[in-house]
Amino acid sequence: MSDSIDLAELRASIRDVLVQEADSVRVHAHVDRLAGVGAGGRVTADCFHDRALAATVASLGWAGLGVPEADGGLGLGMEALAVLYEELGRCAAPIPLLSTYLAADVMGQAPHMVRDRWLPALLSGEIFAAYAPATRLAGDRLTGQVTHVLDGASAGVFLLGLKGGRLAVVARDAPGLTVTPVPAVDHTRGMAHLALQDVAVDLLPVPAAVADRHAALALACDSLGGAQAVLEKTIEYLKVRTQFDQPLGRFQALKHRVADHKLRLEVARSLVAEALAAEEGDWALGLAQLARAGANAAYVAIADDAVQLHGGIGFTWELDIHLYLKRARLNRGLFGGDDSAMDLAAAALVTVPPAPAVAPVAGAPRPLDHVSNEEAFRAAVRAWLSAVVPADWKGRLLGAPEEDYVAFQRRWFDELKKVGLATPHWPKSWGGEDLPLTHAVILNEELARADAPRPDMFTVSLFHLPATLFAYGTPVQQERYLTGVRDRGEVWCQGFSEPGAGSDLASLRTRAEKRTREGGRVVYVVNGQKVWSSYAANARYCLLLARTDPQAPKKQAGISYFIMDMDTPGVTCRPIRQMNGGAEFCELFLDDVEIPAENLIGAEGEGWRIAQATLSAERGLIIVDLAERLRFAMEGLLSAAGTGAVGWWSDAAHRRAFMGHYGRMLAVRRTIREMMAEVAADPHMGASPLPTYVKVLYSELLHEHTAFLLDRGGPAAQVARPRLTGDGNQAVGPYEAYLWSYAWTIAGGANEVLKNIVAERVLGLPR
Amino acid sequence: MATENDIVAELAASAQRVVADGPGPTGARSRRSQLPGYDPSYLGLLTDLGWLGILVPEEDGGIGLGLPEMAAVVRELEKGLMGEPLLPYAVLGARVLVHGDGPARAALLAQVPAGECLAALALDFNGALPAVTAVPADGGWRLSGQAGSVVGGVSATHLLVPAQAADGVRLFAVPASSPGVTRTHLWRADDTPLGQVALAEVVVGNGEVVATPAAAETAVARALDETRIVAAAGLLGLSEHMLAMTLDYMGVRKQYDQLIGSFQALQHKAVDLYIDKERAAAALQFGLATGGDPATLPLAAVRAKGRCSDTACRVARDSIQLHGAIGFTDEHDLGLYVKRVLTLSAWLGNAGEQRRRFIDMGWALA
Repeated sequence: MSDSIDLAELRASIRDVLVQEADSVRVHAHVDRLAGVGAGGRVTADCFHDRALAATVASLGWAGLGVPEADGGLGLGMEALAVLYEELGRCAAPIPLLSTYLAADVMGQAPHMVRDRWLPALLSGEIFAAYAPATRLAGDRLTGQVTHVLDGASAGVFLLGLKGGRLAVVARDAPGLTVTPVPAVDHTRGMAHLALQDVAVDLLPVPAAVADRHAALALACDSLGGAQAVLEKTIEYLKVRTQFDQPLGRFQALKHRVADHKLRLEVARSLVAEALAAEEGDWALGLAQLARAGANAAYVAIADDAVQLHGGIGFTWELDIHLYLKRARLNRGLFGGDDSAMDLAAAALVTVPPAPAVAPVAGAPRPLDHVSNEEAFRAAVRAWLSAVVPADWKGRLLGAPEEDYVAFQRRWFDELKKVGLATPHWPKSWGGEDLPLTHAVILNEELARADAPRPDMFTVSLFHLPATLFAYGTPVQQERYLTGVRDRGEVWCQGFSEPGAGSDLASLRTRAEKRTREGGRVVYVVNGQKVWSSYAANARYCLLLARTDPQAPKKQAGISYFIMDMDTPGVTCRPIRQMNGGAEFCELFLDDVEIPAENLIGAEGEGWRIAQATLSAERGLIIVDLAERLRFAMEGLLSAAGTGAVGWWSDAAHRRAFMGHYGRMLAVRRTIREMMAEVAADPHMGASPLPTYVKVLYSELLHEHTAFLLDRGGPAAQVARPRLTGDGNQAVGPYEAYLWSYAWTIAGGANEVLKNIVAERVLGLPR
Repeated sequence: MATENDIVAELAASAQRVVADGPGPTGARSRRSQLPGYDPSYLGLLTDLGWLGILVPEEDGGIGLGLPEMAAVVRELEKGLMGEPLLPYAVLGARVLVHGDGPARAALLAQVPAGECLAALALDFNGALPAVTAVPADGGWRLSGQAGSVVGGVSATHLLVPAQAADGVRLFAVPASSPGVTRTHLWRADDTPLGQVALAEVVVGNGEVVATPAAAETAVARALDETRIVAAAGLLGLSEHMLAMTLDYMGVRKQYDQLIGSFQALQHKAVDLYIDKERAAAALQFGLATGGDPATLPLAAVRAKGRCSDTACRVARDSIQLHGAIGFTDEHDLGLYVKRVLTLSAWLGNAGEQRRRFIDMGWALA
């Protein structure tokens, strides 16, 4: 099966062939011939594929990639075909393999008579096929018209979707069938109209859903490959084309545009991977349609803008850009078009029960007694949560005074601590559980599913502090402060941002000057102001960044990292009331605050490096939890829509917009998993772009989705209600959630700054 | 003789002065969660300026100007968060009265310019006609039912209540102090009150009829559309103000040793907002130019309110993002404008709702 072959190797070997046989020159020559370039624009060809390429492909046996070995194929499945489709899309190959291999997939599941007649010819490359989904025809003798059938002109056999979800097969030379070739503006493919007059067809016992899923995934992969190629070409152009004495790629507005495209592509890629991994059934069918719409939308957006980013030369026939643009546009309109893809996805996914069941467990087991097996662990966590999470905890915190929130957070922390789940990700030597990342992910998924409280007040205590001290703390610091968190639930905050240093954190001005006091005691005297320090008003300690060397050649090099006791004289904390009504962020005023020298973490001047290394802790398990919460909220809405309880669901535009958000959520979730896999391999993650992708993608999705829900909410969403005191991530209602979403698009590096990073460090555009 | 444009410009200039002299966002901040949601002395000022009578015809004792004049005033006033209570009383309430054909019409309308009649239209929570019934009683009517959305309702002198009678919808002017009237309120997301009215066997005379079944539904529909256009002007004013605040901030805030306004990606974002704002201004202009004709009024309202709501929401969103974290604080005035936008864009139908109305009206297929 597919795990026995290396998909990367397969991809390389396919690409090796295609860069020879379907390179830009070859594709252009084919397109010129079809467009009648040099022939006064007269289109004479009725063969829309490249015959030489077809001959090469026939000799390579690609047709058999997905076909079971028993039928003479290689039995590598859809995953391998996906690679092939992506590579064909990458070079906009003028050959109808998508339709043909789709037909081969279906024929492989058909009864012997049909299979024996067609499969060998399809596999050998002797004939091509074409698929017309969801026609209005029915019965085993068909009369009617089917228009715009992709690859129909080249096909020797047609697969037709009939009314009622059945499939029929008919040979091109069947009596009563007339095939009229129709050229497409996308000259890398062609179409045909079919006229049927009492044509006898073979009905297949294979459901049309099999062909539809294959078609959707294949199209998605074609778009993915094309989008990737056209984006690469565009980025290369931005690096070499100079205007105003600079490479175009240095202009920030263009950087942001290509960064957005890169992120679109990542979303599409994740969504396609998610759809390929889906098991059979409605879920798989729905995801395939969602992936197709998502990948096509990305392809169109990128190809459209590629023309603009190339400027005048992008408008010429000579460049490849228009080939991709036209292919993107045709992809979007195929197989009923992308609107119908969204509708099919919506119809398939509202009926899916989202929660995979686990065996019920009685009582409140200690989840950590069940780590031997992931499913048992999940079941135990779920049972434990249903026993300990107070059903009305949100109700109790609505409009509650701050003290109640703090008390509740402490109680919840203690509840977690009792069963070892406050610090499960810590090493055993520090009282943790060395919980494998897989289990930590499960734990966070189940916390989200149960809509359990988040120990938000302890975020720095549980994540940043240990990540910092395990790697850079002295044994004394580790002993003193990690024990404090573990045993006494000490709250920590972060003193990073300043009024003048937001996204440009390295420009921070808070000053720490080394002094020697009587008795030889060495201290740092700190003066300055910090802002956006979460829960500082409740914190016992602060992880503080301050400048020790204002003369350092690089501003990053003059920064040091301190542990500051919040009770030290000179520390003043003032909560900032936010526009969402909450006040978990604080300002800190530091006037001659004396920090003992032993509270320096690492060496002087190492603060920036250490902070960068440990900041990724912020985006790990926390975001697993939040993405899962978003997922359950969306799936709750999907189920409600399935029962007719969502008024706006009948409005196609709103429904499709929602499905677009749902697809993006699934994609972000997958990217988060990939990020977690990287964390497992390398806790500091080196130069991985995934945390940046995740932050931008999650925050933009959250923002757009909550704005969407706010708009759908009508006047009811506008009524002021008591807010949930404390954690904005658990906002109740669309208005609250919408306002809170800004905390995500702004904090942790404004998305605008992160897009610069994507453009420069990932895409290689000049600084 | 002053041309129409001169009058519009003059009124806009006066409104700018009112805003400059007024408490602005500070006032809005101090009024949060306070009844009646506006400063009573401000109502006095609006009366003195004659603005409560802008949309009341001259023959009915008003100034007899049109939507363009009122729109110019509201567009400027919203820049100081001072559009209330002009919108509920002098626009929606006044125009409902203007379109009435009943005996109560003339006397109430005559009291509008002096602020003696503050009439608030009662709608249901979703903006449709409220579930109120009228049954004949003792030569008059007995009204019962609920109205879930009555902006201006908490301090209105009269509630304009469309009620279902056996022969159709009649519109009554119910004195707010009538026995059987219960007024409560919810707080809107911008902390201004949303009136809620319950009527329990409220007895009104025939003299309280503002519009008979021949005119009532049309009167309400027309007044709502006219108000949508004026509200659109308010949303445009809010957009203009937020954009100005944002451009100012981009001109002073430094990051990476540069004014953030010098970053090209942010410049492009600001230009997109500017273009969007211009497009909204054009939609409003279309609304004002065609809103006077009852035949084109619904289209004018849909377009102006839909576009200006969309634009204001977008400018609000991006303004916060461009301000960064300071824009997320409650201390910064931007949040007050953002919440006003969210409230005003939702009132009488947000952009999505206007598009739905457009489709329901059949224009999309024409």
